[in-house]
Amino acid sequence: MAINTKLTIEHRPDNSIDKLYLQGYLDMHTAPQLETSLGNLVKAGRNNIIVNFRDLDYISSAGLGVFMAFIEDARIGGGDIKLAEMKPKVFTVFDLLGFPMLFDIAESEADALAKFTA
Amino acid sequence: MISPSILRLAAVLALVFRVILDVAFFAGGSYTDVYRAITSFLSLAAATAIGYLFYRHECEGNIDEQSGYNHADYISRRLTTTIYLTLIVIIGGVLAEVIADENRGLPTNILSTIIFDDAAALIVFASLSLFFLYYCVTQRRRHHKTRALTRILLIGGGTAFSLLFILALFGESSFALEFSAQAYLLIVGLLNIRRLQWVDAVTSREKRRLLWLGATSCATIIGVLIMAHATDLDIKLNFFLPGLDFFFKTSSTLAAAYCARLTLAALMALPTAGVVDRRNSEVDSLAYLNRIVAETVDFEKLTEVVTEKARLACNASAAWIEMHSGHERIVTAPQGISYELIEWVHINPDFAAIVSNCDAPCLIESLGEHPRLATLAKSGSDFVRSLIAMPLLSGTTRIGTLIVVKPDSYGFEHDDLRLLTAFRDNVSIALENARLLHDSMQNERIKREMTVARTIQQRLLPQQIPTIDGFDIGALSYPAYEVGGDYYDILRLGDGSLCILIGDVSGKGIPAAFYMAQLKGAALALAREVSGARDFLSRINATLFGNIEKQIYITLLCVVLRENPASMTIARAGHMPALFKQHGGVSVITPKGLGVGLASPKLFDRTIEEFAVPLAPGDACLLFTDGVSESRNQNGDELGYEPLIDILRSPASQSADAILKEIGAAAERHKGTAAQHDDVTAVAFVYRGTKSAEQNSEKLSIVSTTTEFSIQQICN
Repeated sequence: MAINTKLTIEHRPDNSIDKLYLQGYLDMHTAPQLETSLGNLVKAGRNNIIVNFRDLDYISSAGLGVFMAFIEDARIGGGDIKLAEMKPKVFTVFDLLGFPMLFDIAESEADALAKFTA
Repeated sequence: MISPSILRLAAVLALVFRVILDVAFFAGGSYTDVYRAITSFLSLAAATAIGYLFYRHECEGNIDEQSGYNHADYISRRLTTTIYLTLIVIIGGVLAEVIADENRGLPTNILSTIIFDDAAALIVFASLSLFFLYYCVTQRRRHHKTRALTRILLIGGGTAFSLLFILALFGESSFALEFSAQAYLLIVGLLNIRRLQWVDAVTSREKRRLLWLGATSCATIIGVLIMAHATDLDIKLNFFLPGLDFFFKTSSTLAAAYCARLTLAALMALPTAGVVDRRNSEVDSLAYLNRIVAETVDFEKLTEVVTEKARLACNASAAWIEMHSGHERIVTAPQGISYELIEWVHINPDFAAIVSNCDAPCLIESLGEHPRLATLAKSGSDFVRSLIAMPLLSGTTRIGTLIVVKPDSYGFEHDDLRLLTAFRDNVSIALENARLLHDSMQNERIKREMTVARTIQQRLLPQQIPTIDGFDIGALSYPAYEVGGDYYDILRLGDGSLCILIGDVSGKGIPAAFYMAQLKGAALALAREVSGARDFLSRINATLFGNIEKQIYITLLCVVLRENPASMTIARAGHMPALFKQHGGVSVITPKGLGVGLASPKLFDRTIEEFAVPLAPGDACLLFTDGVSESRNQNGDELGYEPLIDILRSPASQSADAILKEIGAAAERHKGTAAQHDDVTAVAFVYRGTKSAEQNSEKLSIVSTTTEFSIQQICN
C-alpha cells in the first residue's frame, strides 16, 4: 500500500482567530504549502493562529522549520501560533527538539482557544 | 555548333564585302544579276550570322548564380532583346523606304532594288530573331521528350514547307500549300504557348516587368508586320526568296501571340500579386525559420530572428518580444524600435493588460478607435497606430508575447494575423527546443557541480578518526542526495579529551549542506576553547543563532570522552537520543536541550542539560541521526529504536565497526526497495578499558549540571 505523502490544509476563520487543520504529511516537499498559508495570514495581520495537528501523520525537520519562520512575526504582531491535538509520534518530534519550551502546545483545540482568550 | 568567333568574322566579312561592292557600283560599276545575287547573299549571310549570335549570347547570359535558373528573368531578357531587334527592323525598314522615295529621280530602279535587298535582309534578320524567341520560350521548362518533339515539329515542319514553297514556284498556285502551312505552324505554335501557370507564382515586381515587356514586344512585332505591309515588302519578299514572306509572317504571328498571351497572363495575375507575394514571403520565412531552428541553440539569437522575420512577413515598421519572467516583463530583440519607445508605450497600463497579456492572437486595427488604448494614439505616438500581439508558448506555458506594429491605422490585414499565427506555431516549437536544450545543458552543469559539491562535503567529514586510549570509535554516513545536511565530527578539545559531535541540519540538499559547512567551521573554531559537551553546544548556538535563516535549525548531540577515569559527558541540542549500553543493558539518554538556532543563547543555555556517565569496559554507545531511526519501508513504517537497541545489546557488538555494519545492514534491510529519503549517519564507540582506568573506576562520581539525572532504563 502506498502511503499518502500529500498535505491538505483547511482554513477555518473563527472571529479573530484563524484555525489551520493539517492533514497528511508535512515534509520538505509539502512545507511550502504551509509556508504560504501561514505567510498569508501573518502578512494580512491575522496573527492569532491555531494549528490543529489532529490528522497530521508525519512531520519532518523542514516542516518544523515553517513554524520557526513565522512565530517571531506573529508574536511581534501581538498574536501567537498555538499548536494543538498532536499525535504522540508527532509530539515526540516537537519534544525532542525542545519546541514545548518555545511554543504553546495544547492537548485540545479548546485549550488552545482558552489560552488566546485568557 | 558553329563557334561564335567564326560567325562574327563571317558577319563582318559579309558586311565589308557588301560595302566594297556598293562603293564599286556607285563608282561606275554595272548592275547585273550576278551583282545583285552576290550583294543579296552577303546581306542575308550577315543578317543570319548576327541574328544567330544574338540568340547564342542570350542563351548563355541567363544563368542566375544563386537560383541556377529563373524563368521569369529568362523570358524578360528574351523579350527585351526582341524589342530592340524589332525596333531596329522598323527603323531600318522605314529609313529604306524614305531613302527609296527621295531618290526616285536617280537610277531609281537600281537603287530601290539595292535598298529593297537590304530591307529584305533586315526582315530575314527580324524573322530569325522572332523565330528564335519563340523557339527559346517553347524549349524552356519542358520535359526533354516534349522539347525534342517541339523541336522536330517546328524545325522539321518549317523546313519542309519552305522547300515545298520553293518547289511550288516552279509549279502551280500555292494557295492550298500556303494555307496548310500556316495552319500547321499555328497549331503547333498555339499548342505550345498555353503553359503559363508559372506567371502566377512570380513576385509582383516580376509580373509588372513581364506585363510591360510583353505588351511592348507585342506592339513592336505588330509594328514590324505593319511596316512590311505598308512598304509592300511582304509582297516583294516572295520574289526575292520564295517562302520568306511565309516564314516572316508565321514567326511574327507566333511571337506576337506568345507575347500577347504572356501579357494577358501577367495582367490577370496582377490583382492577386500581393497575396502571392505574401505567401511567398511566408514560405520563405517559415523555411528560413525551420533552418534556424535546426541550427540555433541560442535563445537570444532565436528571438532576434523571430522579430526580424515577423516584421518582414507583415511588412511592419517594428517588432519586439516581451518575455514574461514571473511578474516581470523583459523586452527582447526589438527591431525597428528603441527600448525607450517600448517603455513609453507601456506608460498606458492597459497596454500590458490588453496586448502583452492577451490570451489569443489579437489584431488591433486602429489604436485611435480602441476604447482603452485611444490615449496612446492621441498622445502623439506616431509609430504605433495598429498592431498585432501574438502569445508565445513553450509547451503549454505562456512565456511571452510577440508584438508587431505599424504607424498607420488599418495597416494590417486579417491575413497578417493568420500568417503570424502560422509563424507563431513554428516559433513555439523553436523556443521549446531552445529551452529544452538549455535545460539539458543546465542539468548537465548542475550534475557536474553536485558531484564537486559531494566531494567537497565528503572532505568536511573526518578523514581519519583521532584515537583516544581505550576507545574504539567508528562512523558511517551517506547522504540521500548528492549532498546532505548530516554532520559528524570527532575533535580533540583543549583539555585533551575527545569530542564526538553528530548533527542534522533541517531540510535537505544544497541549503542543508551550506549550513553543515558553516557548522563545521564553527565547531573547528570553538573546539580548542570549550570546556565540555554542554559548553560546546552553547557556544555553537551563540555563534550561529541569528546568523542562519529563521526556519533553519540544527540538531546536535555532543559526547565528550575522557580517559582516566574513563567517562563520557553528554549534551543534546534537539537531536535524537543516544543509545547507551551498560552492563549488557541499553538505556536511551535524552538530556534536555533546544535545537541550535531555535532560541536565543539566554533561553538555550537555561534549558540545556549535561549528563556525565562513568564508563566500564564493554560499555558502548550509539549516536545516530533521524535518517537511521526513521528509515522507512515501502509501507511507510519507520525502523524505530527497537532494532537499534537490539543490535547494540547483541553480544556480537564488540567493536564500533561491527555495530555500524549491523546498523547499516538493518536500515538497508528495512528500507527494502523504497528510496532513501534522508541522510543516514551514525557514530558508535566501544570502551575497551585500560589498566589505569580500571584502577580508578571506583572513584568516579556522577556529575550533572541539573538537579535531576535521568537515564531512562529501557532494558536490563
